[in-house]
Amino acid sequence: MASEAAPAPATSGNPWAHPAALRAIEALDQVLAKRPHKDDHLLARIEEDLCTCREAVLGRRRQGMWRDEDERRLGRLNGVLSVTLAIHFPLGDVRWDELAGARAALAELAGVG
Amino acid sequence: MSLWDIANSDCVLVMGSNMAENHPIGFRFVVQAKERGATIIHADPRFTRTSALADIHAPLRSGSDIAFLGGIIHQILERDLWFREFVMAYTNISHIIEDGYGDPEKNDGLFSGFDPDSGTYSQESWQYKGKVVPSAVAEHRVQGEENTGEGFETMSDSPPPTDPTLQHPNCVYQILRRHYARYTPELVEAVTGCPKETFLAVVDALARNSGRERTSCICYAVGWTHQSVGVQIIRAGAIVSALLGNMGRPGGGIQALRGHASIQGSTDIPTLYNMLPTYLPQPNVFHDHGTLDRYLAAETPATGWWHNMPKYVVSLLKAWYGAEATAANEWGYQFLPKLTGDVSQLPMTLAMASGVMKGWFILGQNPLVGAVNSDLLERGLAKLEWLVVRDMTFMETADFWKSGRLVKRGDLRPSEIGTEVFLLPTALPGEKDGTVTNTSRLVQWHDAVLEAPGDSRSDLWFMVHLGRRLKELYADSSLPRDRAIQALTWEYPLRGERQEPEAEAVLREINGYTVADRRQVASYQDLKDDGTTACGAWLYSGIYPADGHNVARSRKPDSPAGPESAHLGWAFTWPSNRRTLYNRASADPEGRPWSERKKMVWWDEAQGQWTGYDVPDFVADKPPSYRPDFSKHPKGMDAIGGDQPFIMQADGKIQIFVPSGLMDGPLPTHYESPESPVRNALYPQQQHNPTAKLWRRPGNELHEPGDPDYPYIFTTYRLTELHCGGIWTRVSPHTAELQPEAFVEIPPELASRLGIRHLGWTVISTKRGEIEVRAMVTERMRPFRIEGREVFQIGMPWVFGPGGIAHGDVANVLLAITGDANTSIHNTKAITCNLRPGRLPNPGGTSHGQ
Repeated sequence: MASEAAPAPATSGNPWAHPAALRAIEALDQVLAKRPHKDDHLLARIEEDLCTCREAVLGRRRQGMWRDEDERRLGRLNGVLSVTLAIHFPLGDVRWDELAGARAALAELAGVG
Repeated sequence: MSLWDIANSDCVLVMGSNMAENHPIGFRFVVQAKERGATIIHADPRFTRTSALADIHAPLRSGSDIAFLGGIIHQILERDLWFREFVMAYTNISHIIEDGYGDPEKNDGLFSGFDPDSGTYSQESWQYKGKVVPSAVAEHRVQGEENTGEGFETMSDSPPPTDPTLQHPNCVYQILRRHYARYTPELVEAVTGCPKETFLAVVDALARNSGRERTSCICYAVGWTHQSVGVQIIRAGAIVSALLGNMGRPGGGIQALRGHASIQGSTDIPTLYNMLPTYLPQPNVFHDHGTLDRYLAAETPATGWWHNMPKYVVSLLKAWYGAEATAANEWGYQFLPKLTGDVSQLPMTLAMASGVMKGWFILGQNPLVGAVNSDLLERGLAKLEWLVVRDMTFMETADFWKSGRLVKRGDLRPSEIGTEVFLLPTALPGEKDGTVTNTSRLVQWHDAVLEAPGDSRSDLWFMVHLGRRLKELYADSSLPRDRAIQALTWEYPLRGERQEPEAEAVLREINGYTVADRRQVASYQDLKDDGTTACGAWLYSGIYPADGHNVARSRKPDSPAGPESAHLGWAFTWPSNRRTLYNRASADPEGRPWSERKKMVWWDEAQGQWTGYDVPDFVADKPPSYRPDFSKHPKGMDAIGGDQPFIMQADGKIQIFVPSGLMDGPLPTHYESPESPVRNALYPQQQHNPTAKLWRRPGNELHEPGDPDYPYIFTTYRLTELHCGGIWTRVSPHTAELQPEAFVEIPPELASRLGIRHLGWTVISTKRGEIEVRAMVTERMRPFRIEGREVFQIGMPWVFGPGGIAHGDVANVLLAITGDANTSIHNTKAITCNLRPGRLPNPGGTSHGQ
């Protein structure tokens, strides 16, 4: 990225509870509430927030603040991003159930239930 | 059909192409046809050099192609101009469609099965009655999983129901008549702006030159494909060709004019995201593709040639993963990445602007000039971590961080762009071995004749050595996701000090070989699904059938007429060096040529085989009298009769009506472009293609229909003098001086109305951005009379950019990112804009982006 995102705040106790992740969860709820209408603008914002979150946690890795568990979580975050892209740019039917699952996975990562 | 077969046409319709200027080598065959007495027609918004050489120039408004072609279909049906014996025998015109089928004529512009919430169609009601018909096109199947293997078995139970009297209300003939009933000459004139008399002259020329003794062809290029209904325009042309009985015959059919730079090749052995080499569907994580068995069960048609698909898939996996591909690990199937969505260029350009992508390899492209919505793309480039550009000179995309439009304007600052750019010099065509595949599926080998200077290397060198380094990097990894790279076979011989990979070794792998003794296979008929054969691209099999025999290198000059007229000794055409696909149709159902004048392939009763001037596209010894025994549930080619030439279709028939695969309907229907100055005269309640891919977001806004702020139609095109994206020719003085500066072509009537002088400055604007460019006021552009008022169209070459000697503003700044429903191809041919005299206050123009 052009400008490196700040590492995720550790004060919350959960470095994955980045403000961008929380924004993405909120936006995912809005997108899911509008289904079956697909809100391209909101989905683009979610992608941006997920990328910001990803950069933030990668910043922690670059600083050596990384555990094995974080690698697995990074894989899940990438999975959430992948599903969001799949809903934004679907082949055939929009997989709303998959997006709901992605929302749940992101919420679990961020520890917001 | 072969490019040179155009010379055998009695009538050539060039539409969606300025063939004389953009395919000048191929156009020689149009000229030859004309010299032999053929009628040449050019249907195009502009009067170009192609029009100048044509007998008829039919002007039509950009975006109205289906209205024009639908009008031809209407005339063919209502005036009984169709080649009845051909159509009844070789098409699905008598097939009966499901009772639930509903046509746009009765559904306010929509076919049955439309879900307004998702904007997609269910294709259930489009099927042959009681059948589930597989699409012959893998690209269609990856878009949905509604129709899968289990249902395909219905095609093996019995032939599709038909009504040879054509009276059944749901037979294709009756549906077709109802669908196009309103596409009258008057409507064609009202919608397209083409005078009724000119339109009827086109119909008459095509009809007069089709039938037993005569054939017509249609040549198209991106003027058709770069629209929101691109696939359906091609379909409309194919229906015309089928009804007139031109398919599979000498001088007949559809000629897809492919791009110069191996565009056909990049589709065959694809840079496309959704297909494995030569049109095998890419597995999809959301489909029933979890295992190889399930993938093959879901995707393999029960009947027709595609029933052989497992042989091609397993042989491909063996070619890619070699000894690592075993029966125990599904021949390495799990190494293949699975699709989740549309990851073609347009969506990924949007995703790049959101920061999703980390890096981008660009080979043989200059997207900052050639891709739509240049400003949004530039913002995306600035978010990358790295960008690798391979070209022969510095160009706009590699230079974006310093000289981009947004940088020059101060919207982006180089100090804040972290993208690391690697510009790697490439070898030019004469400096490398390899093949080019373009129009006619012709694969031509070329040899290096001199060594590339300095650090310049071939793209093959780059890819092979990149692969080698990746394999080294991942050699010790224990992560499952890295197994695909570890397992990949990558053993290409390297030559000389530069370690240049041997290009013929790649071609040998593409051709295929037997695994046990690594002997080249002769053709794709030799491929197996038991792991004993390997093949990189099944349709290319036969291109290198024996050691030392590179058929693509073949250059045998021969006669333009008679037995040598197919020029089988010139290079290689896939499949099987066959020049005309489905050429079994050049003979009648009994296997006799339709006429002596138009003979190509026929049944030799004495020899018990098909023979002729071309390689027959049929089972060599299957007699015309063969009929499937449906009591035995025949599979594959056993289910295809000896009088059914179109073997890639599940029942061997041309699909005038397409039951499966198309995302936007079984028949071409006129919709306006997503941006249009006029309302849809046929379906006021359905302005544009309801399934077109539209991605609304800041920086990619669309104009509403009839938006008074953007009243003019805008279209883009290439120039003869500036090759492809213009990079090579804009930096060379001797070609740059031929087209020294960007310009916009404006009809005199509009120029007069707006006070624009010839060669004066103008500003063109859309919601995406504004550019300035000099005016070329010319009668080549003309106003159209639509809905009782004048509608103006302007046009601009898209090949200019700020770099090089011949330069100018980038036309693609003006365009939005939108996609055809079937292919995600962008719309560059019919958008709307505003135009005014003068210049922009700031150099580089303005954008209305984020």
